[in-house]
Amino acid sequence: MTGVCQYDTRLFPDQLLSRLVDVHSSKIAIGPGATRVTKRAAAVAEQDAGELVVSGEIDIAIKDFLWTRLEEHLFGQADVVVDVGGVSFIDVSGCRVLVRAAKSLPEGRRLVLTNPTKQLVRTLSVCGWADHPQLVVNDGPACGLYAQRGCA
Amino acid sequence: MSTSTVVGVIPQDPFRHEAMLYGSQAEFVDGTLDFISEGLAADEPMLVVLAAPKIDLLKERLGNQAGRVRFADMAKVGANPARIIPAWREFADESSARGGPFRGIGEPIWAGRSPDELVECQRHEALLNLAFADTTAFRLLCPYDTESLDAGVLEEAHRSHPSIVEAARERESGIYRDLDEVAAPFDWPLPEPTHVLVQLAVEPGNLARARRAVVTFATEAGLGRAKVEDLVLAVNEVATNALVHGGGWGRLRLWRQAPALVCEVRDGGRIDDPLVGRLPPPNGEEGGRGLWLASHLCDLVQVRTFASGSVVRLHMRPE
Repeated sequence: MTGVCQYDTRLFPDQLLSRLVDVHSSKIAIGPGATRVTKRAAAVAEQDAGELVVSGEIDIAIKDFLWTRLEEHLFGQADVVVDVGGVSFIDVSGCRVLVRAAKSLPEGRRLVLTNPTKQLVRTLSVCGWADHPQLVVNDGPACGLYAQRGCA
Repeated sequence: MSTSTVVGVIPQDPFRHEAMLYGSQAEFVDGTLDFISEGLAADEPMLVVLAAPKIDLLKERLGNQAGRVRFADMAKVGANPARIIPAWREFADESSARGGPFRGIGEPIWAGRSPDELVECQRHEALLNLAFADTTAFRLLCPYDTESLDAGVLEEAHRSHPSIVEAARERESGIYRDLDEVAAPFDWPLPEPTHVLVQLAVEPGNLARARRAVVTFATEAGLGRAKVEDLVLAVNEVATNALVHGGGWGRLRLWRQAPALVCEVRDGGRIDDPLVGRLPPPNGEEGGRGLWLASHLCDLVQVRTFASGSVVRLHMRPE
């Protein structure tokens, strides 16, 4: 069984939110993340299409929720930028969602993954998904799966 | 005066899978060089996958012709024998596109293989016949060292190769196993572990728990971080298969079996595709990538289907 708990970040103080996040296995954050992230996204996308920040562990239990949230961002005009730097684990079903999202964009628009782990890059490649023109993988630092906190 | 070219249909030879039995280094060199020279004379694409010292030996003998042959180290390509068919497939596709016959030499079995690896290598040799049944004009020669290999291993070579080359003479194997038998679910017994360290149920929604168990187990057993990550991903995929295709449940067991760590997932499903994990995934987004990925990540993968369900064992060795 998968339960998804949603919290409105406008209503709770940061300290409480971080404690709430800690008791869940995955976190999917929607909207403008940290300022740093938004600025980088703006450099890729001409128009602000909304930043998607995905973190935590993405497996078969969470993939449908990820798809639903991604889908909401597919209708803009610009590239869809997904910061996956906080993803500590992603399986084939999660990668499939990213590929499906990229392929469902109209021609000319792309899904851009920023800060992927080496393992995510390799999983996409071994699965035969690395060469799709609408999926752009911006190599980030080699921050591994189950990496210690603070590995940027 | 005009000339016209008539292009006829040239009947192509079927896949030829030959075991070459050799009893000394001289016999090995003579047999493989004959095979390579034939290929060079016909200007055929060639891929030779052997242990590095044997490659050096052949390169030296071939001299300036060595550049016309592609070599690959079997210790890398075939450390996990499930990765050898994909390598041949890539070579075959490339060579077929060029047109004309092509050939290869592959020696996946040597005396230093562990008992588990040996069984998987023998399975690989049998599966080659199935994987390339529809590939034409491909000759694959597999050297077997009669001096260092057991009689049982040589007998199995006769079952997995329709023809046997010995002292430059080719003969038909009298006990070659037919393809229907190879295609049947593989139910070769797996030895029961003596001491299972971790055991837990795989159920929808608790894969994160299984992953954490693998992280703890593998880290404590001395696996480096990259290998821990690879093993966790592989176990996750096999456990996901159990949930999606294996009846919705699975059982994960972890133990040490020198020199490797073993992660086993049992479920109630059947694995009917004998080449599962050995064929590159299709272009789309459909499923069927779990065992392909696991074979790329792990040092050894054992896949079985018994009357009670299927078993996948993933082996990872600390570096």
